[in-house]
Amino acid sequence: MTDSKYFTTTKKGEIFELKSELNNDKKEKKKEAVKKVIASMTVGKDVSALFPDVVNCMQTDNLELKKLVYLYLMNYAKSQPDMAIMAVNTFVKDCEDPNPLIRALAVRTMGCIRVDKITEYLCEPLRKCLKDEDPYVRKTAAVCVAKLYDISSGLVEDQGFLEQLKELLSDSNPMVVANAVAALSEINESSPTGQPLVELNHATINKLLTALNECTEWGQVFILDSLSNYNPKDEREAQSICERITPRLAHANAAVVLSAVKVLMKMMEILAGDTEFCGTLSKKLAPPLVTLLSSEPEVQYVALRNINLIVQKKPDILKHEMKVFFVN
Amino acid sequence: MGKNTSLLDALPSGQGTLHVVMLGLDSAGKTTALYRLKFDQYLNTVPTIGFNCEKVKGMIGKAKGINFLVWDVGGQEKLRPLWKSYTRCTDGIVFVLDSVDVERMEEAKMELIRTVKAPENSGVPILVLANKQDLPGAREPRELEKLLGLTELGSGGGHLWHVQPACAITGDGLQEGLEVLYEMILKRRKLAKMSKKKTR
Repeated sequence: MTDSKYFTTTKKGEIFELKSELNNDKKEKKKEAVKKVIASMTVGKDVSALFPDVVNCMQTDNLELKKLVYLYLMNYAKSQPDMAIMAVNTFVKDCEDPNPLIRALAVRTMGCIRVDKITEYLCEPLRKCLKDEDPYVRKTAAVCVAKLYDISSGLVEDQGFLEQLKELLSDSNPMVVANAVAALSEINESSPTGQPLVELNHATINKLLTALNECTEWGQVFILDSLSNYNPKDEREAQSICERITPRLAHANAAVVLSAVKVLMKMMEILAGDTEFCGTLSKKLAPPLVTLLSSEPEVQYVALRNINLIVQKKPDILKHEMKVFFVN
Repeated sequence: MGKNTSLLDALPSGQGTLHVVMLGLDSAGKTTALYRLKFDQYLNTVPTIGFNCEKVKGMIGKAKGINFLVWDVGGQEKLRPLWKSYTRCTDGIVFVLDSVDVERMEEAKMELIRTVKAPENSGVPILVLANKQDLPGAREPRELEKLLGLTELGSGGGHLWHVQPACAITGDGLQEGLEVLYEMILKRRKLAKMSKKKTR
């Protein structure tokens, strides 16, 4: 007898058991089974063979079960590209669910499923979600555009998603604006020509500055970073931008502070002729940089790297703060 | 005995949900039929890229109060190879047919035969829903039987089958079809029991 006997087994095994549990009529049993599947997935077992059975649990009114199935999908859709198409109709339906949490969940998951064969079917639901009445859905959809661009830039351009994203820059909700900015900057970065695909103009900059005061700290970072890539049309505009973002220097989040410093440094280049304005601005830059140096070591390190660059351009910006750089 | 069955029928049959798979070529009217059964109203549908799954209750005759879990699987060509993961372990198959689309009758026949002849589907009752009977030029059930070659199925394959004329938009014939399907499922179970006894 050959050694092949060691590879055959009469036991049907765990996968078989999970399969029958997934097909159970009882909702509780089903949820229990999906949890087991996710647990196996998390510890690194290959449960991709259960793909059709898990996808069949997708159409449920139970949010917990739906989230678990979505989690599974994000992990295995790529390894089962042919079967992944079975999930499309549920995404389409979920994007029209009366519950905004489900709509957002669906659009977020769609963005994480990187399967060429189904991306084209996801455009219609995405378009709807970009115009959703709920800001939470819109802000999630904005990020989805950037993800889709990474998979298929042509599709995003053909479908007019860039224009829709641009419209979201003037959304009434600051979080939507922040996410739209983040998505656009990411798209611009990966632009094949190196040319930004979406240019910011005076009107949008004004909206960004308004949203800046109202959105979360990370949203502020996105907005500030995109401001640093903007070329003001004249000195007055540059001055007004400076005035409006200077309060960010007092923010508790180091990322916000450094992003604000970056914008101010950029604007000062443009305003080089106005020595008085630049002088007062430089004075305002010093204290927040010094504050950063008394935070935790990781932030200190980043702050020092940045200070190194800043003093190369503005050697006297920290001339009164020499003490803090002494090691004792 | 008679008393017992009526008592069972009266119970909420949550556990006794029957699994039914709805198949057929694209734009045959599967999703329209499903939502007509579910909500008793016409819903405008788009091509199903994937599946729909709804619990549907029988409303008339013997099927009254019986729960069916209906899986409506998209009929586009690229989805057809995936039908098999839905027909596995199903109690009945509803094959929805566009009674007007004579051009694609041969294609429909091929898909139906392929599904029915699959070894894992042996003996599963088939309800052919001859949809779009309201349209001019709709073929009659008798003619469709011949066009689809259904007569061969009964004798050779041991499948119970029935052709039900219907109009999914108005809902005509859908509940009647469900009732016949239910009866076929019961009959198949009875036959299976009898043959088990015989082998013992």
